[in-house]
Amino acid sequence: MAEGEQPVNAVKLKELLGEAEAYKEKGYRLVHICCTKLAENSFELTYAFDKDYKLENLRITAARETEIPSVTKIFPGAFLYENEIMEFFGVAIKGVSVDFKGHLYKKKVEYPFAVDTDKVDESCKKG
Amino acid sequence: MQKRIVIPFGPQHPVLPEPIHLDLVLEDERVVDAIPSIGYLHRGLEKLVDKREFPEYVYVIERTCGICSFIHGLSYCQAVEEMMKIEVPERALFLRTIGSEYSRLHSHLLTLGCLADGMGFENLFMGFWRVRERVLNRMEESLGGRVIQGTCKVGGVRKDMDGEMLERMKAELDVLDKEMKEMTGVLLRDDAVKYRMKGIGVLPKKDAFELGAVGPTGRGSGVRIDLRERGYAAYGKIGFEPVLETAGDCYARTAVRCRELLLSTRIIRQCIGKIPDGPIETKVTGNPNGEYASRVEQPRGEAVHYAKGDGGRYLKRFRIRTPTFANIPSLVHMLKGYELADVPVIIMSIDPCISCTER
Repeated sequence: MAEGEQPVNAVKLKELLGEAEAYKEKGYRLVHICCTKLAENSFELTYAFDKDYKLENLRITAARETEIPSVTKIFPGAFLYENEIMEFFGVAIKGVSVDFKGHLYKKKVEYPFAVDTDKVDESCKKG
Repeated sequence: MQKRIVIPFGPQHPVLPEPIHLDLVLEDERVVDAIPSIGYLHRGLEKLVDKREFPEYVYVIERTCGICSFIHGLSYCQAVEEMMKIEVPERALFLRTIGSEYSRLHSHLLTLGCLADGMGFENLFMGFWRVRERVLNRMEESLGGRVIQGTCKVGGVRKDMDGEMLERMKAELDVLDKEMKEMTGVLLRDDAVKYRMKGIGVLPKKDAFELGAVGPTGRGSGVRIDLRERGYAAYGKIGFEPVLETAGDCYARTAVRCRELLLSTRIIRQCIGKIPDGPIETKVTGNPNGEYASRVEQPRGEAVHYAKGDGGRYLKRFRIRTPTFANIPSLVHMLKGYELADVPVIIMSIDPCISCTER
């Protein structure tokens, strides 16, 4: 049986924390944060929330240099998602409660999910 | 303030079946903080999505983990089927449910054995793994493999189970129940086990929910999150109640897994009784367009498989949020305040799967 609708609510950057706080107050939990590269310097971050097995999403679109506020003060478990996004995509997230400063993952390529797979392959072959 | 020292725990450690790394900050023998590093073996499987066409990518996804590989494949197929509006035949949904529950049996028996071994209870480790061998043999016979099955495909399943096989499975479930009750009884009644696990690694319900704990880690603290209740595959046609404990300690999390073993055999029995005749797959035409987050209940908890397509043969983005990834903040929280000697048991009590996490 399919889960049904998974509404996506596109919000502005300045609205993100307020909207996330509203989800928290309504009893939702943070399921995950997913980053997707849209174009060379454009990324989409999707924050998924669940209550009673119903999934709802908040979405922001940002360039790499845009500073995105961290949601770790609202959802403390979000620090791993945010560190992963910073390390894999190079997106700047400000105020993460536990910031690994690029050392959560051991990587051969800087921001591997922000470059083409062929370039990642070449770098790995070179060692 | 007492002098603090940092002890690296892992990635290689006798109690760890997989390489997780924690830097433990200690005051004397007491843990005051723990800093996880999870990138020791990261494989970048999500990145391969632009190198494999969507029907083939299921083989990559199944290799995310050697324990819950079947359910990874199932969830990926669900995501693509939802985007393509594919109606999966009902028989295939029941076969997927049977496969999922055999995976849960295999995983829980494995981790309970490892937990017993971690506490020096080697005979019990061998006992649990002896029972697990029955499960693996049945998986090999019915699904086509002990570790990687390759059964799920977009649109259904590749392998059917005939009536004779289902009857053999049903008969063996009684034997499994008897053996599992014996093993779990020994584990949960043993005084040494209780001493090592009761009141250790306590995660209160509120903290478990706020930190995003899933699976037996959350249910051991009384958080009722079991994605099977959502009714994916054939779970909507099966009656069951999620297993919950409330103490939130290592013992409660272990008790949840022990009770879930018997729940899995009950679900398989119901599936065998209700499985309809009919085809096992639907012809798939076209390509995925849109996005969908498929959620399933793996042995360690909720897994999310997010897929996004643009109508081409290759997905534009695929992401897996594994249950262990979600449970790491809870693990870090529950380690604080306990002795260094408790750390292995607390880590094993969340049943960490680093292969999944290092996807």
